[in-house]
Amino acid sequence: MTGSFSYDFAEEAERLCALPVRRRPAWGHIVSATLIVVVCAWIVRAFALGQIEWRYVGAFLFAPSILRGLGATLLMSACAMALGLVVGLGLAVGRLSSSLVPRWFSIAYIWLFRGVPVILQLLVWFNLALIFPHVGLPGLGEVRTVDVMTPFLSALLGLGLNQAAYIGEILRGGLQSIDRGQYEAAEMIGMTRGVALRRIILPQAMRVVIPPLGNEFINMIKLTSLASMIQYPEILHNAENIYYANTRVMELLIVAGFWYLMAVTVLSPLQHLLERRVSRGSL
Amino acid sequence: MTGAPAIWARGVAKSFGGAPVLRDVSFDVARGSVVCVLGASGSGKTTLLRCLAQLETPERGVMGIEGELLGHVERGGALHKLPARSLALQRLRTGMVFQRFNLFGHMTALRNVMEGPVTVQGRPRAEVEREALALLDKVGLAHRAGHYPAQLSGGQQQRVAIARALALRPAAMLFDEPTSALDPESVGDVLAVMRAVAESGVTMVVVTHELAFAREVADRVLFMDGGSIAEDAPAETFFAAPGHPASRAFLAAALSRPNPSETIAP
Ligand SMILES: Nc1ncnc2c1ncn2[C@@H]1O[C@H](COP(=O)(O)OP(=O)(O)O)[C@@H](O)[C@H]1O
Ligand SMILES: [Mg+2]
Repeated sequence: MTGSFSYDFAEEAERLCALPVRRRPAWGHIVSATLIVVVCAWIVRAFALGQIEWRYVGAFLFAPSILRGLGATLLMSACAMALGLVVGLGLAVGRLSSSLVPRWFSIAYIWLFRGVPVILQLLVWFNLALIFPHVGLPGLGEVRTVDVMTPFLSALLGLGLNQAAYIGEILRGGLQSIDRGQYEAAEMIGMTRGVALRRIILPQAMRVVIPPLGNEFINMIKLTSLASMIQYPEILHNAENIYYANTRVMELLIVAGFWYLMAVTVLSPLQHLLERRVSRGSL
Repeated sequence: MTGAPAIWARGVAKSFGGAPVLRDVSFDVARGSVVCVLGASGSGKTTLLRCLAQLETPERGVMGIEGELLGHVERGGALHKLPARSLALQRLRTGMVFQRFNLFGHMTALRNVMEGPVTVQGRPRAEVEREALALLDKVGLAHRAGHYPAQLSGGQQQRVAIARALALRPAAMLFDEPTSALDPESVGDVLAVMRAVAESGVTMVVVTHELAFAREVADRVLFMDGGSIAEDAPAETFFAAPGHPASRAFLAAALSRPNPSETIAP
């Protein structure tokens, strides 16, 4: 019985092996690809036939004020991100601290800065003179707040301190992902908490936090456009100034959009390089 | 000071959430000797070792290593807690080998061994590297110096961890079940390295379930039961004629098992 079964099966298996394998037609792909192409073609047509003078786009793409705006956008993104990282690291460490004061300070900070819209925070910093007409340190003299709270500083504080709340939570997750044994091994070779954090914990937490931090940086590049509301001369602000004068609104929005897109596009491969670099030692 | 114990503890007590884990523990470890801490799971062996390593703070009692009080300084007729920085320096005097190795995952074996001497002690890199390579050679892993922990087997990682602790030239080495997380084939390699460390004259406190190792290498045995030291005896005495009912039961149970490294869970 077993013998005849295995004989039949051998024949059957041979027959199955000889059959050609046909791919299932990917109807889903074909339909969705067609739909996407049609919609894109329709949008391109609308833009091509619409009231868009493409020569204006070309003329302003490399206009000095637009390029200056690009520089200002990148500068603000980098500075606000750096401020966010420094304050965010403090918040993450404070949040995980065993003592009450830093822990509750971090919780309250994150609650406040995540709970209020960024644009509102920017306006508050920019108009700080309404609450504190003068700022200064005792003994070092005072200055008028309006002179200090330039668009640059307002945007830096508004964007950076808001970003710190989000980065703080990302870094906290990263720190918590590291096994307690790593802290203990660091302590056993005589490291203080600060040194252990810098040499052992943070480098390993980087693996976990670099991808979300990269996303935050990309978000930040786009978020700087909000600073146009407080007169910071970044791309969108300068594009607006041009279209207030020449009324080519859509053309200049396309120019601005192009540069944001470029900045973000250049950043993504850099993020991948960084991810590769910090993942040394993991399999 | 010859004859003074390398490590001592008097009246050490520790509890977790109200449940006592160590009760009035006192013992001496002579300089250059090997003490094995035996006892059932949950009897407080790890906690005792972690108190010596100052990873836990005892609620009561005093401990000392090589003429220094652990975690305290005597001033004006009272003991004062050491500040964090002094505590970190004091930890340099004890090397700890963990059950789960705890090698730094982002550093190669060589960098793991060099990290303490270079970053903490500030010794010259070239000199430290020579020493670290010699240490890796001693534990049989010179050819793995450039490997990351994730590329090493458990036994290899544990041997690197021993080299990392030795690189700081500690006065005493503490081992917490160093072979319990290993597959049976690598247990022998790690025990061989520990035997060599013992022969080099380093004071050792070893929590282990490897009775054969304890019998061969230990000078004394501390047997723990329910957070107390039930028996503190020379190794020969302990294995030949255990004095406490709990130690007798423990030994009888252990000897009826074919291979301790396979049958005793971490
Ligand atoms: N951090 C801790 N928090 C709460 N309980 C703990 C902690 N560490 C150990 N214990 C408890 O203390 C007892 C002794 O643990 P341990 O020292 O690890 O014993 P052993 O190493 O002998 O197995 C166990 O009951 C354990 O659950
Ligand atoms: Mg244990």
